Amino acid sequence: MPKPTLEDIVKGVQKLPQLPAAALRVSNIIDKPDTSADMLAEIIRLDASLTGQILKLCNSAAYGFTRKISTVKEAVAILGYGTLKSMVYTVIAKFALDKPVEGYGLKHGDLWINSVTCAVYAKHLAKRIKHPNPELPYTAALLRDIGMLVLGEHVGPYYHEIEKLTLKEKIDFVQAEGHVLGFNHCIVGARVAEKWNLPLVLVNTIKHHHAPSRLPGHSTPAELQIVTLVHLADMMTRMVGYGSGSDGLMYSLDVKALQKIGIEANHAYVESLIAELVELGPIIRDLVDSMKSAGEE
Amino acid sequence: MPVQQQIETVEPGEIRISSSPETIFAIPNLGTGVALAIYDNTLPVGAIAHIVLPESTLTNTHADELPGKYANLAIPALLEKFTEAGGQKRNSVVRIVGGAQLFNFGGGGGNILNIGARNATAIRAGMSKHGFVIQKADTGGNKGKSLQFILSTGQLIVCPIGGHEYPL
Repeated sequence: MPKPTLEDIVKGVQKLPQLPAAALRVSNIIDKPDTSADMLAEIIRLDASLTGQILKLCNSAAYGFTRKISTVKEAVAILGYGTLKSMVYTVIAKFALDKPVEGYGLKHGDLWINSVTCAVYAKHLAKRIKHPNPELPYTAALLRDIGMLVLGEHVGPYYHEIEKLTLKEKIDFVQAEGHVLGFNHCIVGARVAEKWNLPLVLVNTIKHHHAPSRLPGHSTPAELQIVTLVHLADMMTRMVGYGSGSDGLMYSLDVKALQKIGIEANHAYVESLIAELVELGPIIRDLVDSMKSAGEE
Repeated sequence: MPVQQQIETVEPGEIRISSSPETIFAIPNLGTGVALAIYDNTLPVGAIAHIVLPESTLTNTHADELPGKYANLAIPALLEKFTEAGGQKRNSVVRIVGGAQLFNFGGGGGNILNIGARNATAIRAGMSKHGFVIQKADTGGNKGKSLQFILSTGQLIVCPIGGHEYPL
């Protein structure tokens, strides 16, 4: 059987993941420039399930509000558009990512937990450097590995060859994917993100999060910062060990990219970072638990 | 009658102990962290720490931090719990699992990312100071591992992510 081509794989992806109708309507307008918080809130409000999901998230430890939020109107007033948007993406990500991905050794729930952990880590890292919009690295990290979901259905017969090549040629897993298949899960993910009409910053993060130094030369410092924050969050997630697949730690840290955004990844920095991130465990678990549907509890 | 099993997940930085044969301690994914498991088969009693860093001196530690985060603090805490529950050194089996490592092919990171190996080394040294030898170790490599510590038998079942499980 011939190897699948990138075009074949992307063609086989549906326009959008199989989302409930309200989530689909929201995802269609979420990044349009003329969409307001009120418009978003109105669509959410009309769907009991989506309303329930958003309110559960609002009231989880991840958002830390001192009083209970009971309506979408309240959520919009308190959270603002940026945070509401990232919550909607969290709900969409749960539908899309909470599946097993056998090709990469990911059991049911692994990719979802990995993605949400990386998202929470990315937001923490963004706040650490006083990024003006920490919700953006959060969302980018959440969706960074959608390519694994898609390529996971095809990579199985080639997986061992890819892994052997990483050690033989001393290259990262994603480079070895490229050598064996002609493309890697990041490129697949970026093409899928384009198909889903995701914003360019998310497409670029999905494509370059394992090697931010390879961002195109015309990329802005702001774009480099987002992609590099997600890269660092990704590496930390692998090290702490939340839901990584069989590709595990077969990646290197892009020290040059970190230096470009003012982070000197030395001994003390990495260890103090791990020490902080591990303490976010209860918040992540609360967020994951708050998103469980009735059948999963 | 078969024993009703109770699975308890041991998150990064946690220490758990049990004297109940129904208990199975589980770690779904060890990255650079190392699981330190000690078992006294005469009682039985088992204790486990999910350690993520070798020592606490490089960072500012706080009283309310997770007790099992640093090897130098986790080991005395684990052994205290083990002893309080009746566990004895002469009957104990000590095993460690995990300590994987990121690649460093491009020179990115260098020894700063050798945390997995340093965790394993710190645990060996720390346990040795208390007179314990690590009887079995499954550390290193570039893949995460899951483990189950079954208290009814003392078995440690290890599984590389995407691979096949085996007893340690």
